[in-house]
Amino acid sequence: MYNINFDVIAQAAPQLIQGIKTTIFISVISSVCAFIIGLVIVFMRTMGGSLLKAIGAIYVEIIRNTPMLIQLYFVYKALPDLGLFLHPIACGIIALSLYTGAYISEVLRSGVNSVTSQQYEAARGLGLNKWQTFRLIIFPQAIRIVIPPLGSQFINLVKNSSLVSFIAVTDLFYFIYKGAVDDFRFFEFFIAGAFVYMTLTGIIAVIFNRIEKMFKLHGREARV
Amino acid sequence: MKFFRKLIIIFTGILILMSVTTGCAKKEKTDLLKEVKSRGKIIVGVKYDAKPFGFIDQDEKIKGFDVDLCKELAKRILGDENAIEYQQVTSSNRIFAVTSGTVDLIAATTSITPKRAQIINFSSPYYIAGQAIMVPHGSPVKSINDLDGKKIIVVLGSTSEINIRQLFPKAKILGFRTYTDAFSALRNGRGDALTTDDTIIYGFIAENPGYIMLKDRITREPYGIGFKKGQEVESFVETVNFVLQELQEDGTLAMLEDKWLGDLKTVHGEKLAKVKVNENKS
Repeated sequence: MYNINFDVIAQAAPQLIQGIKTTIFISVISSVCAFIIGLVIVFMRTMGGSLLKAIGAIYVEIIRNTPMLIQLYFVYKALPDLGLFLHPIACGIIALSLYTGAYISEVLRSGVNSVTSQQYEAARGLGLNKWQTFRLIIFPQAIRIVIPPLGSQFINLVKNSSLVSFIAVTDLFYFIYKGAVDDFRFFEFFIAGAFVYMTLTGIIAVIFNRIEKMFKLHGREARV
Repeated sequence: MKFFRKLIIIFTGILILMSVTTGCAKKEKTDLLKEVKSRGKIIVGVKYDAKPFGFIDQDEKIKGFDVDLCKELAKRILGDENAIEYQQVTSSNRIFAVTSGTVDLIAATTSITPKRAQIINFSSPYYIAGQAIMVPHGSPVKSINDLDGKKIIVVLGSTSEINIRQLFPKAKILGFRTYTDAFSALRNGRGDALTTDDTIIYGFIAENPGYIMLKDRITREPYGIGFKKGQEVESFVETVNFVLQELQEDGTLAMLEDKWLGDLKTVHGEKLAKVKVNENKS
């Protein structure tokens, strides 16, 4: 009934490679921005005063309780009406960073909360200021614990980056969808797309497994 | 355990409800015409965002040229013009809606092209449109020759996109899923021009006075009704073709054209050139 023909993928390969480049570009920049946003928010929520804590909490709850597509459309369609006109790729990066940043801050916060409060008190008692305490004492202990869930967040970011195709950014999913609807080859293009995304996220998974091993503490891993 | 039993009962209930309401598993090859008659209604895929062919009016009812055409089909095949179930399709998913069997036919401003004809069956054409360009008033784009190197907005999966890519390889193409998205991108200044069939542009400029359509037409687009390929649909396609012939002869098609497109054409002071139905497309 349906004859599978993967030649169409070979024909579309130059476009797909261009799309992969855009996807990687957006993902890498957004990852860095999202991590920085996550760090700032978690610092505000754990070390800041009550005002900073409230701002951080409001940000996280607004962002993670609304669909990313709405945030993306907001940045792309509503901001020009307010006079801020950004390139579609910039819109995509902003939306992705804000969205993933909220999740990363939650992941980091769970790590920070798992560090005992005596560590904080001791560091403060030694005369370190809040930023030094966070940077030198709390964060290095916290990051070790949250490496696996942090990796998941970056993997999610790469997959969520496919949403930017909705605002006509020519990323990987844009070309997959275009190929599928132009040639009516849904099966081939979506399988190929799934495979490419799997490869991209697989690389992240491998990197994070390496990092996890690097930061491993003896006697801390779960025993079978 | 009681809790789990309840959960299972609810879950199977939902499954049964879903399979009854969606009625998807139509794998057996019964003749489509017989099936439509025994079902008592035709399931049609129409666009909801392509005024004046298929759109949601202010009273929240689906209206348009394609919708009226489907009503005529239902009246002449089943004897009741309301024996229709509408499903929304877009330029990108309409072919798939037909091939997967979720709809019996699509009347969704679908141009007949050789590539599409390999995948789905087409009826004879019921309307001839032309691909045109819409720009904001006072735009530097005065004719289609100014388009090269510009940002052009299209809807993915439409013939417009393929044509424009071949004609202007240097143009940057911004593809969207729906016309609503595409037009809002033009309004926000994301692109320099929007290209699609003139029929749909008529609908946009009627509601948005700040936009004009260029006089040039890039191609002719004969619209056909789309069906699944296969033995079981042949009699249905023949019946529809027969009805279309009838509609052509008794002037219903011309009446529908006048009803939905007459005003728009006179407003903009031009008549669409009548084209022969069997003219070859490049």
